Amino acid sequence: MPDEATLQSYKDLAAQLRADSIRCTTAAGSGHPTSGMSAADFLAVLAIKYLKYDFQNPKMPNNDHLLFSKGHACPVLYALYKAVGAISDAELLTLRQFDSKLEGHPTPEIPYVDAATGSLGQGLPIGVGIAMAGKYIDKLPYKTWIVCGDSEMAEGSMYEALEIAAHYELNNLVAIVDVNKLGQRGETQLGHDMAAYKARFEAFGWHAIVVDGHDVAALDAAFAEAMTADKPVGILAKTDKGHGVSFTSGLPGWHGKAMKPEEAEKALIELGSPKGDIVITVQKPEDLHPAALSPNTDFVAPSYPLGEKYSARQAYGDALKALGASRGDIFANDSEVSNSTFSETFKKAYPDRFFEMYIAEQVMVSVAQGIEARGYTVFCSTFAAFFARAFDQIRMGAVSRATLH
Amino acid sequence: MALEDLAMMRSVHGSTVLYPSDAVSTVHLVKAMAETKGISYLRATREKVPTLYGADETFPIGGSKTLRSSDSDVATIIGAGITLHEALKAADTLAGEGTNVRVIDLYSVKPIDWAAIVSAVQDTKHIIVVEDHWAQGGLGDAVASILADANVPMVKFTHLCITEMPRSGTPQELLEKYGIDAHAIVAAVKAGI
Ligand SMILES: Cc1ncc(C[n+]2csc(CCOP(=O)(O)OP(=O)(O)O)c2C)c(N)n1
Repeated sequence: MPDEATLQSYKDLAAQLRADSIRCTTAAGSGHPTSGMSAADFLAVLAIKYLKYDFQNPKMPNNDHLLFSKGHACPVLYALYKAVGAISDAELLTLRQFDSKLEGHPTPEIPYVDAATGSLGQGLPIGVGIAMAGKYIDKLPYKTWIVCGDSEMAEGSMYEALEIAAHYELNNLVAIVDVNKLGQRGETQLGHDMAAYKARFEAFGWHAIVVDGHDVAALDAAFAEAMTADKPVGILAKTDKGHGVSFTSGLPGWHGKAMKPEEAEKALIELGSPKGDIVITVQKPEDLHPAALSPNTDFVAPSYPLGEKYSARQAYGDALKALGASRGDIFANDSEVSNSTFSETFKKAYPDRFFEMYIAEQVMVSVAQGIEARGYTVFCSTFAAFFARAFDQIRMGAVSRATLH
Repeated sequence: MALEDLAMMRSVHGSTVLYPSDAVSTVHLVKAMAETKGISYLRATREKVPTLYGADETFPIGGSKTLRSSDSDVATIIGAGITLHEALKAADTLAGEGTNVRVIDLYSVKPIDWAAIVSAVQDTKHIIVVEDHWAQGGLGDAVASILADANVPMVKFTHLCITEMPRSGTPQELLEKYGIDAHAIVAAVKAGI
């Protein structure tokens, strides 16, 4: 059990995160303050005690990764960046301004953001890719933390991600579901039925922890448990949307609404008028380097005599294998059709660099994006028609300025 | 077989869309993809087709290959993948009858070889695009947008593509049924003369 001073530091930071979510959205005249207010307590505990990240050096290979799958809640993420000293209060207040890098949804223009999120259902699958890179490619101990919405849990792609994460035994992945009972227009299908969320996560092979998302001592214990689990972990935090302010807490009608200045003033008083000057020092990760890749050599193209007949897909497999031989950073994903797409030619040569994604095209593309975010090159293959299932992932990949093949 | 994929992938911001017609160009383009930033997509067909290119050919992204051309081309046939092979058959049939046509392998659908298409428009009277894709958003639209943009006199434009919901069949049956085989191309060339 953490001491009183630690518990108080969690509460103080959480109050500041709530206040700053309100301040920056009120200054912008738009945004999602209440979606961050439910998340403030677990974020405070995570940042003070469990996150390992060098904000001076976001490219450090062994940094943890923190993604907001519910990207719209980014005011609280930006408030966290302020609290760790990564951005100033003045910059926080530029939220949603035309020339600010703090857009209405996070993008990798911000150096601590791995992927653009906002289209719900994509952050967790991308996080699965990052965790796969951590476990199987980088071979580094960093953790990937994903903040998910409860209404977001209706997206099918979230379940593709749950399944693949368990299949690949990603004990370095923690999804925190902010179960604040509300979505955009009203209640979610499950409301506060925490047992139902737990049963789902467990059914998919995850370690599920149900916790009162506003009890910082309980949250601390939940994170401690997550650190040592041998499976992917779902921290299912029972929360109130807009928590901390009487006229928003648990109430519908506030999604995506900035408070008017006079409402914000009242809210800040209810939050104890936080001074807003807390700057915490996040633990730095150990300075470790990614595992070595096989060395690069010259590309040797397979040869095909003129006039003889080959299919392009067969040549795709040959080309991928040749690329694999010449570049150690080439990986391949396929969604259960590798014997048709001929990516199995690569798989047979480089089994450790091939990830079977089963018939889950959305997570296939998102996982590729996550692995690419760690600096590797991934080719995805399936039948052309089925890429349409992952079109939103491909579209958001372009928003992320990601490289995908 | 997808009939929407080129449209879908062309619409993505900054994307690269490739559609090779033989094994040699496929290998070159897969390698080029690995060196390309952003979203890149390659459509690799199932059918076995004859190798068209020698090992030392190059296939820059944004380029094309002109496989048949003369000073007296009456039309340019633009295709990629399976339809390029139909275009070559059509060109050979027409050559046997004394009619010359240009044939362009549009392996880089996006970015597209603007210069090659503009010269084809200037040199020949008739642009025929033949593709295994719906009318919207594929090679035909990509070429038509150049015709509309480039400051060149209007030529006849024929778009051979899939226009009805396909059913099962052998590749050759399907190419014929949906009017994107060598016969259909020959007929389109003749209709333009
Ligand atoms: C795929 C997709 N569909 C719809 C939306 C619009 N939308 C934005 S936030 C939201 C509600 C999200 O609720 P939840 O995940 O519970 O997050 P909360 O704000 O309640 O914390 C919706 C429907 C979206 N961003 N993405």
